[in-house]
Amino acid sequence: MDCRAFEERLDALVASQLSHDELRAAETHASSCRRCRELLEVVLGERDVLDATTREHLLASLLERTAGSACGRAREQLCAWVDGELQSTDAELVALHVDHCTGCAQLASALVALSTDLVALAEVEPDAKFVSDVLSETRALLARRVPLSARIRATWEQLLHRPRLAWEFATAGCFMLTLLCGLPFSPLRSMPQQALAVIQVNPASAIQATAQRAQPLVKEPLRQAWRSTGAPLITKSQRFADAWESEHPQSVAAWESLGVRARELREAVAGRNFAGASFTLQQMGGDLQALWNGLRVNREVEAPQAGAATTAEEEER
Amino acid sequence: MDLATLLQRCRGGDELAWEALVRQHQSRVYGVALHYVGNAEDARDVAQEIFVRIYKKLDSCSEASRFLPWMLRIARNACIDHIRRRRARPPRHDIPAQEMNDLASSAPGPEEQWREDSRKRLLHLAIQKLSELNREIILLKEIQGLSLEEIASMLDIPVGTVKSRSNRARLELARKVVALSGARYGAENAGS
Ligand SMILES: [Zn+2]
Ligand SMILES: [Zn+2]
Repeated sequence: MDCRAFEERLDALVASQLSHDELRAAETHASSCRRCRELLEVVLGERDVLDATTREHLLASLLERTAGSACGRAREQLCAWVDGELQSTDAELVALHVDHCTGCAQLASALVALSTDLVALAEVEPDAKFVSDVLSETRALLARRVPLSARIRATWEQLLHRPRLAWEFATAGCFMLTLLCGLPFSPLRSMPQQALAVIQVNPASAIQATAQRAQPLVKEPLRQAWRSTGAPLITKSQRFADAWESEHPQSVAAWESLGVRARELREAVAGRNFAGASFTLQQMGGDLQALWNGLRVNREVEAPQAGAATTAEEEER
Repeated sequence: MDLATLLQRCRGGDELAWEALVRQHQSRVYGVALHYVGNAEDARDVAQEIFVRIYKKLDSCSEASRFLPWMLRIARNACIDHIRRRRARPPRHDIPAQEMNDLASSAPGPEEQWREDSRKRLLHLAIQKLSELNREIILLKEIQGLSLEEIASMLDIPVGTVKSRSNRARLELARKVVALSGARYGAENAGS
């Protein structure tokens, strides 16, 4: 039997339909002819004709001519696959691709490694001198920060703990509450919450307790301010200033300064700059003391009429 | 001491509290600066600048739970300012070359440590090769662990964009890392 005759009988051979003699002849040929033996193995499915590389190349060129390379699609889903966020069918398809595609497999294992390695990059230790360099940079700022807060605290504590000043403090406190919350031009008139935050450092109970004694002295100016709702701010303060100028010459400067501070305070509060507001408040306290001193010089000859009116607190409502 | 107390003390002008806060966060701030500006020398300057800014703005951070995103936002702005200034003048040196120098000159510690360090350097180098937006998203999301929402508000882009961008950025980084390492990166993890 020659090669051609073998090929012609191949189908019958596989189907076991050859006669005894023909089968013997075919086997004899196959044992002597390598080509026909391999052909038989292929047909019987006993032999892989293509090595792995050739098969991958064939698949790649087939995909190129049909659906296009699957790598693009696989890579679109690679992160979600690594994170375990894919639906089961998609996950299976990506897994199948990654099993056979070196490029995508490398990317996938790199992605897995990245998810743990990147976290370790969050902190990088600078050199040992770093902290001291930062501290020396911020020291100048710190110096400004400390005295400011300390100064404010010291001022209030001083006012609180020296009984002789309590009276003056109460006057100042009433004025301040009025300026902050009550007058038509008050910065905090519509912001009771912020008002409370700003005057936290100033214990309201202390003011209330001593307000009664201070009341007669500040009653009239307060009344005037109160009753004139609707009058423009400038006219209002001008009238005050004019009245005071004649009666209490020493208080004029303080009053003017107070007007400036009130504007600063309003701006500070509007900008939610509470540190600035506290500082302004502190300066207002100084102005109020000056104002009070001016008032007292004038009023010392008059006898204050105690308990004649409601407190400033009540008037506020 | 919890962060809220520390912050409150800092705001009150407590020098010790401020020092503690700097110590607690120096590595993170320096890490962010390093990834943004790309080299150690500039990163140190920028990290200092970041702390000065943090100090000046301490009053504006009201909640301790929001401190990290708040700090990272300040850090990012300082880094971007620095990069803008640097663009205006010629660079001091080629960044990847500098990194390679660092890699070559690093003291050979225990082998484990050295392998760990060279791995980090490889990542750092690959991150520097990313496009600007991809680098930023890798830095904020994968490295600093900010949420998609926080990043979206910081970069002023939609949350969906951050999400899709983030996956693209990771893939780009994986590609760079594989290319830089000659396909060795991730290979040791593949079996496990
Ligand atoms: Zn043959
Ligand atoms: Zn692929």
